[in-house]
Amino acid sequence: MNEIIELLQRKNLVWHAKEEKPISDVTPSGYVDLDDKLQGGLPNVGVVEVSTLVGIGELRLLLPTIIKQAQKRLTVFIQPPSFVNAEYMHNQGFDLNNILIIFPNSTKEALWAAEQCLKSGACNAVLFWCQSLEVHQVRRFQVAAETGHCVNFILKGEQTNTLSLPVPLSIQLSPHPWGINVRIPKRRGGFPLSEFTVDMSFHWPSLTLHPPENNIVLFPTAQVV
Amino acid sequence: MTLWLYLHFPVLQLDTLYSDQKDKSIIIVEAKKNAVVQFNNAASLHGITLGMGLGTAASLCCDLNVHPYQADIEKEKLLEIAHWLYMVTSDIVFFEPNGILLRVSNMLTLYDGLDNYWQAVKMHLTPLKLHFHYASACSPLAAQLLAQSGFDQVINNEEKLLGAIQKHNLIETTLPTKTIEKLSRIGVNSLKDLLSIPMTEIAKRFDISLVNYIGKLTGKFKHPINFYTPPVCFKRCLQLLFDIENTQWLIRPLTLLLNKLESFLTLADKVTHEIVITLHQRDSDDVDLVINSAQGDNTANKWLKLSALTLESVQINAPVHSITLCASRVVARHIAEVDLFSGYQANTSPLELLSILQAKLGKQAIKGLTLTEDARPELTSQFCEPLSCERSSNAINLSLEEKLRPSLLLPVPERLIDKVSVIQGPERIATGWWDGHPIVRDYFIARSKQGRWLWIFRDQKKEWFLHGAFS
Repeated sequence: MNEIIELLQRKNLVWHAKEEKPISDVTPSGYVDLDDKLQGGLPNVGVVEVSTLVGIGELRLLLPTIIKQAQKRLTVFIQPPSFVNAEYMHNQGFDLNNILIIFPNSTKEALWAAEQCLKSGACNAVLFWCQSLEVHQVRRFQVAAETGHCVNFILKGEQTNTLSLPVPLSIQLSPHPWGINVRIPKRRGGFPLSEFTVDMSFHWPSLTLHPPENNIVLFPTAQVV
Repeated sequence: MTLWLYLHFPVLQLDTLYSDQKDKSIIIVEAKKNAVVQFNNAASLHGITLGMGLGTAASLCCDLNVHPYQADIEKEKLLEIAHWLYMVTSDIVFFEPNGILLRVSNMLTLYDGLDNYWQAVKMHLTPLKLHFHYASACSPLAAQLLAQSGFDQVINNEEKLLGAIQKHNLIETTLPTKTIEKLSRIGVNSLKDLLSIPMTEIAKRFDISLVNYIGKLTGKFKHPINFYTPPVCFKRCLQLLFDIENTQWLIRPLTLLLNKLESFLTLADKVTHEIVITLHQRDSDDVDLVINSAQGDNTANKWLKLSALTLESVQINAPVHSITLCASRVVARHIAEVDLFSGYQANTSPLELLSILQAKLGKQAIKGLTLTEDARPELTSQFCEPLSCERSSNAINLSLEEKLRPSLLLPVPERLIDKVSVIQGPERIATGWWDGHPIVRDYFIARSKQGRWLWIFRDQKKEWFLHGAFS
């Protein structure tokens, strides 16, 4: 019996939960709390489902990652809930020439546009606002994103009982006085994470209420690669 | 001696028709004379010959496709051929309605010999799929005469050429009937007889036009001709054999036109940013489709993809009988530079992606962002033509003071209905008194009960509005 296990281990066919390695293709989000929990940061490739209210800090959480990923490629916003503010994007460090905003006439066109952008390889991130998506649509996005080496954030409203979508990473956001609450119901290569708070008081002092009393900044734990 | 090459296209209008059924009998009838002027192989199998009346032809073949003869179409096609030939040979003359004359002598140095030259021309003509007869001769008229009679040889030997000309009867020449009659009365029936008479004798007994004709035929007199100079833009028309009602079916014939565009652009090493496809509808107005490519393309595949996307959303209200493709802005190719070491290499460039999106969604659906120096928040951030914003605008904006601004702005401020608590503020913006759109607003950052961070303002009338969200 032992021999078989050893043989399998040598062939790298046994997976040990304790040897969980960080996913390599990630970009740090700039928020220590989040990077810590996600073993490095948000993925560079693939679909990320984000359920959130509009205006609780969801873009503030995601955009630092997108800027780091950009590398002169395009960032595409598809049917955002309202106009994207150029001044904000500029202040954040985006090159405005590399931003596309798409207002499609129908859901069908929106899905088509998202897929085209994802698979083109000309974009580094596609932010897609929509109410609901079906399983096969998400699968297509995932394939397209891998083809084009692109990350697709699907931002949707809070929904209580929906089918679980086949996404590598699913994030649920809720407001919190000094930042944002994050719950990760699903992620590839890791267990679901219960709710934790991402402290934004350092990056956005004006947009947090009461900074946490114990002024300890978490030091990023060393990771063995 | 100047050597000339004449190309005679006997069934030019027939060749322009778009048809994928080879076994259908097609004839072209000149309405005035009621005579068949062109027919295809399938028709000739039924026994249809030139000059036959429409009635006779119809009685020989039951499912006959009849088209009226249109000189305009031939003329246009001739222009197209000339344009195409211009890629390999320089001096081109039209002989309307269905002939093209090339001056060979000038090109011989380039091609190193007559055979090579003719091979090049012939190879170049092959993709056009035209039926033609050809002949070389020492004068334009002689070349025309030989080609029209189906000589189909390109030789340089003066004696042989003269011998070939002499075989022809006078009836085959372009001489007026009256002159031919006069000549036949004195026993001159063939060109051999005519050319054996000394010029001075002819000048005494006949009028000057005959002398001129003989002089031009033998190449002793100069034949005044106008050489063709090609245009810089591309325009082609394709007649459809059947009316097409479904826009999806237009793709096939459109491919033909786009392939021609591709070869035109490739040979010139140019690209075009815009093509206009005109669909000519029966008994209805023409539909113009403007298709843009931000990057500029020359390949038929790329244009076909963009055209197919545009055609998806086009409604036609009558059957289409012909298509015109026009590319007016032909520019030099711009090569996108990418750094080999700059990480992920895209297989589609941003401009290409933009063209694809614009072709399907329409130009108005895709926006870029730009900053202005206006202090009014709704004017600071503006939409612009995507990927075309001036680089300099960013430089100007570096001077802008960094202010805390929401990431999402409402298109128009809305009345505030939620209960909010004000966290920070006010920031007064009072400006715009000079252009009729003044604002005096006190902006606050507020947090709603749900935890949303909002950008709200109070105007002069103490009314509260929501203008954005710090999402």
